Amino acid sequence: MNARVRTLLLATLLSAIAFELAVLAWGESPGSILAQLFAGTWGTRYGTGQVLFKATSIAIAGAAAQIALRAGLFQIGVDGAIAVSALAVGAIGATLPAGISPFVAWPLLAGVGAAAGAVWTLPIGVLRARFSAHEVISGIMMNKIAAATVGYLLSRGLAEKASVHTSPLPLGARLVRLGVFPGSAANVAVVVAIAIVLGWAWFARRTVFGREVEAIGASESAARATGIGLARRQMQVLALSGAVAGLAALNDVMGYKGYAEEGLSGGVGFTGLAAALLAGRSTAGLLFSALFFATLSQGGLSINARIPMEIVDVVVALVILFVAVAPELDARLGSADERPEERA
Amino acid sequence: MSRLFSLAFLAQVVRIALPYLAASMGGIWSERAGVPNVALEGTILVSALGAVAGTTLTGSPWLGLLIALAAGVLLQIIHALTVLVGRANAIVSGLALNLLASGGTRFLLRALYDSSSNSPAIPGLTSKAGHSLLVATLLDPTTWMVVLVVVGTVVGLDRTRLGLRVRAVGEHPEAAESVGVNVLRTRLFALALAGATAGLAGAWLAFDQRQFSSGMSGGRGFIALATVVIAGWRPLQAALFAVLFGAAEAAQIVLQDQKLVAHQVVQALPYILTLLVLAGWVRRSRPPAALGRT
Repeated sequence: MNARVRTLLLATLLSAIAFELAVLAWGESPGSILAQLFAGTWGTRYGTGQVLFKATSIAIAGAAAQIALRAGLFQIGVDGAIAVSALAVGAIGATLPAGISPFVAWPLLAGVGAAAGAVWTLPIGVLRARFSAHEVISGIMMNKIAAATVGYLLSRGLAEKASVHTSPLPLGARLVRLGVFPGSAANVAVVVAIAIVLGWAWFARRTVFGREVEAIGASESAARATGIGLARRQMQVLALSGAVAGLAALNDVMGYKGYAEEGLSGGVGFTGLAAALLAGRSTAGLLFSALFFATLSQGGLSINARIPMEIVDVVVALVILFVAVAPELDARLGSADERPEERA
Repeated sequence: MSRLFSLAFLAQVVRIALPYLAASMGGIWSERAGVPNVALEGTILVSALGAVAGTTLTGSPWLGLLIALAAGVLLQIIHALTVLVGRANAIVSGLALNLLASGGTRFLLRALYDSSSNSPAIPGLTSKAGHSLLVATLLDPTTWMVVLVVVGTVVGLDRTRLGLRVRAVGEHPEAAESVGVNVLRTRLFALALAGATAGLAGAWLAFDQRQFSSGMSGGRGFIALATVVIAGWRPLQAALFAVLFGAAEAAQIVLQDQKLVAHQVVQALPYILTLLVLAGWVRRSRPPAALGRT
């Protein structure tokens, strides 16, 4: 069994134990809570649709984080980029003429979202590449500034009168809902999410840009020694990550609400980052972990009457922690058992 | 503008700055020991709930304070164990702990008080009745504990054996090890201290508002982190910036009706200043050499 799989199994086992203990402490039966969680998600067409809707945003945000992680950059600013892009898409979308064709509106607004995300993320790249400022610190700061900027612009004229959101998008700018999941917010943005994740996997392996990014992620000094333009590539990677993050806004603004408002995406940037951490470099892993976190998030709502849905956040936090310490734990357990053949 | 020269304004500055001061000193201890700490936010949150739960369960606000500090220390010890023993990335650990704190406190809020928004009211360490805001703040013993923490950090980091060891493991752990400093133990101790000081910030908030409300840390841990970076990881400067941000927010509150600046601008001020400092536009800010190398 390879180390990554063993690590994930170990983390899953530990998280499951923690979940069971918390449920038991609450005085409920873990089995029946889990059954209800699955019934409320994959058990109905509405629930499945909601999971797909949430997984769409998480997968796009996760792809944005994974792109940067490949270059060894910890892109914590995904959340802020999504917030700013959502406002840009909502504000510009609202000005489009009522009869606009989707074939014009969709690519136009996708471009707006991507551009806003890239521009917003660029300072993180410049600070990292030109001033060697750690991208985590500047990312946190940019997220906070994004929240303030969105609130400021909405209160200063971008919001519709007597409301806290932008004017509704014309029908042509709305994404088509998936009719097989009646009542749910699942929409064609799910195709965008899959295309981004698969597209990046191809791009990373088959282009000079992708290979150089991989090389930078493996070792910055080695990459510099082979003549890769480190600073330029780092800035490009972060701008690309921001552009992808900006596309996550399409799901909420064009696919669900039909307008932008403060706090619309509710921290999905961080969930995406968690999904990327869980997935490591794996493409299938990213899609799987997006579905996993989306199932937990939607499932939390279905168990909320019996146990506070916040237990889901606790489980997610524990999964991240256990995944982070599992390699070391695995190495220690492995050396205790003296299994040298697996230590390669 | 005359309102900026009133005692009420001064009281607001002190009130807003105190939790920033306490939490930023926690950030200093942790990061000077070489351990990045984005978990300050979660630490403030669990301590605030610790103060309230401790007070309602034991009936004594003093025991509540003690439990608040213990909760802060516990969260930072988990951070220490995952990062130093489990070899987890410190940022990942910090983010996960923030999520654990926000989800966990809301879970406990419902478990203990059957509410998704706030706890019942608790008594404070001292009574506020009949005093102005400034006098009430000055009579509050936690206020003086924060002052003690700031003085202790400013003096302790530079002039005590412990401070020297903390700085040594943050700058060059191998060199510290070679002269007999136990790097792991020093970092554990620094993080426990960070937990207690950030915990004091949480306790201060809870006793100031006389209750726990969901998400009440409200980004204060990140503002504290910003002051640490802007101050170039130096305690006295961090304390000055904490007071400066307190003053900016207080001015915004006092002059609210004049609409001079939007509250979002004041809100974003510490973060914008941090970016400018990172870009070297204000002045160079050099992190501890071994920060994140754990």
